[in-house]
Order: sequence, then structure tokens, then C-alpha cells
Amino acid sequence: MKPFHLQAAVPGLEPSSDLVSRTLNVNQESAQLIYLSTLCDKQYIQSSIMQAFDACGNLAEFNAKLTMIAGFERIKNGNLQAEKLLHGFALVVFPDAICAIEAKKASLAKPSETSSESIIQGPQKAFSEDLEQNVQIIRTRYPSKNLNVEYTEIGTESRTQLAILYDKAKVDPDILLDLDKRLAGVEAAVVQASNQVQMLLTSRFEFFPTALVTDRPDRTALSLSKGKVILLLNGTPFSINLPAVFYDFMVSMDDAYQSPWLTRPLLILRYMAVFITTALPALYVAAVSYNPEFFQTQLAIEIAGSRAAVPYASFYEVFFMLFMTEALTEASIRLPKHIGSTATTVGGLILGQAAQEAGLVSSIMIIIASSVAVSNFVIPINTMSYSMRLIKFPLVICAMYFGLVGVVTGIFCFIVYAASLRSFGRPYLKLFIGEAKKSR
Amino acid sequence: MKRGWIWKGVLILSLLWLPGCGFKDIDRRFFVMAIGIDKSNHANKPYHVTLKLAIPFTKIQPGKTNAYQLVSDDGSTITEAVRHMKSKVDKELDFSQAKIIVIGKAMSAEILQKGTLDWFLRRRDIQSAAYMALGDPTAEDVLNVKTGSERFPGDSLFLSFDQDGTESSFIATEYLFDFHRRVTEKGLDPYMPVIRPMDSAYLIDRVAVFDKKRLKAILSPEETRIFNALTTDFQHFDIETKSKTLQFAIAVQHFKYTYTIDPSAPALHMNIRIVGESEESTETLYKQPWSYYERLAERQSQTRYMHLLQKLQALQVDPVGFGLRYRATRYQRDKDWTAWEAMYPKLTFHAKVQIRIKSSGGIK
Repeated sequence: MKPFHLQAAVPGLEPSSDLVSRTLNVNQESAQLIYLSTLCDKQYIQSSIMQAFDACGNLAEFNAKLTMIAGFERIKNGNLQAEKLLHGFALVVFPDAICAIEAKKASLAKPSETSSESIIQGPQKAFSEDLEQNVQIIRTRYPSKNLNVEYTEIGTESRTQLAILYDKAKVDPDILLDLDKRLAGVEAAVVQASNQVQMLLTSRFEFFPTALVTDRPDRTALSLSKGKVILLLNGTPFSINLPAVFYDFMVSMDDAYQSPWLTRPLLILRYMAVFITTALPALYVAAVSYNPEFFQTQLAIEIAGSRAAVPYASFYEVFFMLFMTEALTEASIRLPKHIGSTATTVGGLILGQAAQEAGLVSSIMIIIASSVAVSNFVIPINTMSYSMRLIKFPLVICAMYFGLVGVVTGIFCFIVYAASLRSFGRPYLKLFIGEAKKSR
Repeated sequence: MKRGWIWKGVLILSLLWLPGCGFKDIDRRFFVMAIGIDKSNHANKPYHVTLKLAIPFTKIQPGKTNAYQLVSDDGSTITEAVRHMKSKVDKELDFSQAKIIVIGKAMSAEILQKGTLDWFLRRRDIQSAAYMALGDPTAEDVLNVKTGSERFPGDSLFLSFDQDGTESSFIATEYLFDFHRRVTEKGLDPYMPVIRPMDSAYLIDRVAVFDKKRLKAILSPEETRIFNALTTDFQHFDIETKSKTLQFAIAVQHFKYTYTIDPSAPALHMNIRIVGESEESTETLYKQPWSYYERLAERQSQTRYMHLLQKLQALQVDPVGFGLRYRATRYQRDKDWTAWEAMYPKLTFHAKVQIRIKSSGGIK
């Protein structure tokens, strides 16, 4: 009986403390059981592999018994052994063959409440951080025989599991081809977040997101039914929906669940909020410093009165307040939840009030800054609301130099830019008239 | 090479501290609320221009925040006067909120000259929808009034003329664009409401009628109401009827008139239809059938309409636009206008008023 060589059986594997290697002897023959104790379920190994071994008289019988266990694979050749070990398989090395039995620990991840896109009445649970569970959630929500699931890996180092789901009957094969090409081109080492995947698949420097990241399983199922491709990344509770056009980012799932008397005005409100959050600071600078005829007489006198205490030009005031609100938003995201509310109170209420009383900003500017911040939160999808936060700054600069004409030109340029964008070959500003009927 | 880029970046960033060239903050501007044009005593500088400048306030309070600064200057043109006035104030003059132009009574003939009116029309920042009015005795006196209910200087005047605030049948509203049109259009003559200052208030109950050259007459308040109804279709007036035994008033709810011109007579037939509600009466309106009161009111208002129409004819002015209607319906190049000019002084008016009393008001 020759001694067992770990390096020979599993090439490329470095010794590690959680690597368990045990020799199973029967009738002067021996097999080797290898697994990573941190990844595998010991109880399961005991009840399946060990019990099978216990009941056998020789190795051939044991080998045959192993094939009966669920999750059995025979490793024929190549260097797949280490791969299997790292994915939670237990290896049984026979003198002439290697068997792999899936013995992964059950995932502890549970679906949490939807946090980035909550709605009041509708499905409340989001995806979990476990890929298998997420695929299961989608299969439950979208029990179609056409639903196709493919697995791949992304990231040269992290080798994160990525599931590609689509409805074979509805999907456009061009999008799949395009996606395959882009996935092959990804060179990132460590991929850990859905937003990161979205960025890697689309252009990094685009102003607007062209793939939609959501934590809502119902939105994902709806996307599938519309023929979209869904990407699920292991370890994140989000799905990536592609292609996605501008209007997708403005729709909340509530719109499909409630009366049009309510949802249509709300949709209009969202577009108005987008206009306010992007253009209001710029319009303030333009109207106050170039075109005061824009205001009603009483308002003009009041603004002039409240501006009279402010010693510097209007755009300094705007930049100062925008900096404050952006800093506040950023701080309340990073801070722990308990301190977050204190930060907003101190920053928003006290500082705003004090700045106005000290004559650093006019009272109208406080209203503008807060309505810009509030309107930004109306946008349902987070990535789009980040884009909108960004856009207001170039517009303010346009207003600074060219007044109202500059603002209008700036907005026009952004619309032209959005019209030139493509999301996986689909025009970004395309309208889908009549399609909404199917989702009701 | 790399250093060059850094310098260019610093240069571009430094631009962020500077605004564009037209940049002037709202608190560095003086809002002109009203423009007044009077006749000065100097022969070579006939225009005495007065501007009412608003002093800004943070919180508007009626009667307290209507502080203003009045600046005036003489000039041979309005432009010259305004240019020189800029040296008297510390902020840039902004005409974008100037919603009323008051012309002094002595200046009334000059404003009809093309050049004078042009200044208001050609300036980008003066609105075409600004109100025109005649100041009696002078425009400066009108601008120098501070009423107790004003929220900002000039507010009272704006509210009097737009139908936003008071809706009075005595106030005739005239806009700059309409005035200009009436000055140039054949067969449609200009008019202007007359503002008279009364210690810390205004009285606007008369209207001045012009031909194309000068001020012809100022109508009485009673005539102004009829004038208002005919020129602007003003709906909210009332009709007083008096007889030996009885006096009652009808509040008009609906007013409509049509007219036809018969060139063969020559005559103008006017049909006026009024629907109203009796508002105040010295006797119960059930002693006679309503048609009795209706006929009584019809007869009396008919004479009022006839009186005004004949007065305008005698003054040789046509603010209602009969001539324009004639030209529009009987087009013959220039002949129609000469025909109308000959016809208008000979025209006989036949006004037929139909009044219907809808109800006798509510009972509480």
C-alpha cells in the first residue's frame, strides 16, 4: 500500500488548516476523503459518505454506492479537483478514480426586507445574498418552462458566480450575444457588487445608468416577462436587469399595483421632481443674476430683500448650499443609523437656519436647497438618483456664464446625450406605448 | 508637457470663481415700478421723466413695505433723461417690473407721437402688457402716492388695472400694446384711464379719449361706465333707473351687444342685451309685472347709450372701433376709409336695449 500524496491527487492545492484529509481503509485497500471543513456540512458527510463506506465490504462496492448520492460527480481528468474543493465538494480519491460529492453547508442568508426600493402594499421581501436562493425565488415567482438559467463566473480572482436568467421564448438573441461578448471582455480581478457588474458591462463614464439594478424580486419577474435578461451575482441581494431605458428608472413597482388615477399623477410628479432636482439651482442663478423679469413683482422684491444680506454673488451661495446638502446626504448614508438622524437634524435644521440668519445665504436659497434634496429622493431607482445629483452642477456653471439661455442649452445638451445612449443596442429614450397594458 | 496641462487645469478652475459678463445680482438692481412722463419747464428739455424705484424688503407687510425712491430728470428725449438718472442712483435700473406708464396731462399730445411711444416699445425690458394711464394733474403726483394697503410700491395701481384685485366698472384698463395699436390703426382711437391722486389713495373713475393727434375730452364717471362696457365688454356694472315714484338698481350678470352699419341711411343699429338681477329698490317689485320694470330700465339706459355714442361722434373720436368694423367688412382699398370719414359725422345711432330681470335677489 503506497502512501497518499495530497499534491498528486489535488494538484495546485496549498495545505491549509481547514483542509481535512482522512484515509478510509478496507481490505488492504484505501481511499482518501478530502474536504474543506469550513465549506462542508460535516453532518451530511457523516450521513452520506461515511455511512455508505461503513456498509461496504470493498472499495468497488463503496464506489458504486457513492454514485447513488445526490450531487455526485466523477472527475475524469484535468485539474478540476481543487476547483471542486473550493466550491464545497468533498472528494473521495480512489486509486484509479476521483469522485466529488456536493456537501456544501446550507446557506444562512435569508431574504431581508426591501430597503432600497420599498413600497407600501406589495411584496415586501428582497433577494437574499445567496445565489441559489435567489434563483429559487425567481423560479417561484416566474414558473415558466421557458425560463433558462445559465451559470458563469466573473472576476479573475474572485471568480464570483453569476447566473444569467431569461425567458427563452421572449428574449432577443442579439442581447444575449452582446452580453456574452461583454462578459468575455470583463477583466476585473474582484467582483463583489451588482452595481460593479453593471458598470463593467456598460461604459464606465456614462452619465446615466443603462442597466437597472434592483432588490425587488417582483420587478425582476416583470422584467423577465418583458423579455429582459436578468443577472444574479452571488453574494449580493440585487438583480441586474438589462436592457434598461430611461423610463424604467422612473417607474416604481407601485405603478403596476395601484389605480391609474393615483399612479399617473405620481408619475408626472416624479418627472417634475427630476426637473426640480436638476434645474432648480441653475434656474435660481439665472433668474436672480441675469433675468429677474422671470419673477413676479412681489417675489422679485422679496428675493432682492433676502439677498441684500448676502455679501457675495448668487452662485457662491448656490455652491455653498449644494455642498452642504450633498455632504449631509453622503454623511447620512455612511453613518450608523442611530447617529444618522442626529446628523441630519444638526446639519439640516440648525445649520440651515443659522446660515440664513448670519446672512451667508438667502432664505429662498434654503428652500431651493431642501427642495432639490427632497426631489432627488423621489426617483425610485438609486443609480438614477445619483446621476441626477451629478447633473445639476454643470447646469449651474452654464447658468453662471450664460443665464437662462445657458440653462436651456445645458438641458438640451443632456437630452441630446441621453438620446444618443444605447442600452444593449436599445435606444435609451425609446417610448413603449401600449406595452404597459400587459403588466396590469 | 504634463506641467502645461496642470496650468491649464488651474486656469479653467479659476474661471469658476468668476461669472459671465451680463451677470448682475438681483440685489444690485433697482426695480422701476412705474414710469411717469411729464412736461418740464425747459423748452429744450421737454421731457420730465419720473421713476418710482422699489426698495426691497425681506418680508412683505401691507402698508409697511411700500417704501420707494422717486427719481426724476429732464431731458430732450426719454432716453437722455433715463441715462442721466442712472448717475443719481447706486444700483442698476431694471425696467422689467415696470408695469405702469403714467403720462402727465400736459404731455398727452406728445405721447401720441411715434418717437415717444417707440421708446417704451423698443426697450427689451419694458413689458408690452404694461398699463397706460393719464396722470391728473401730473404723473409725478400720481407716482408720489403711498397707499395704506400696498404690499410694495405701485401694487395699488397694478391691482386697480389688472382684474386680479378690484373689478370696477369705472376703471378702464389700457395696455401699452393696445394703445400703440390704437394710435396707428385707422378707425380705432386711443383712450386712457385718468388717475387722480387723493391723499394716500387714487381715484380712477374717468377715461380720456384721444383722436390720433391730441386729447379730445375726459368723460364723466357715468359715461366711463358705458364706455367701458362698449370698448372692453365689461360685464360687472349696474343700471340705475329712476322715475317719479320709484328708483331701483339692476346688477348686470350678462351683457352683450351687436351692431350693424347701414351706409345708405347712414345709420348704426345697435342691439344691447342685458340680463341682471334687481339689487336695490324703493318699492316691492311685485306691484307691477317685471316687464314693466324692464321697459322702464330699457328706456333710461337707451338714452345713456345714445348720449355717449353721440358725444363720441361730436368729438370725432371712435374708440369703440366702428370705423375699423366698416373697413373690415367693406374693403375697397383706400376708398372705404374716405367713405367712412365722410359718413361718421352724419351717422344716426339707433340703440335698442333689451333688459331681462332674472330674479329679485335672495331672501335671508
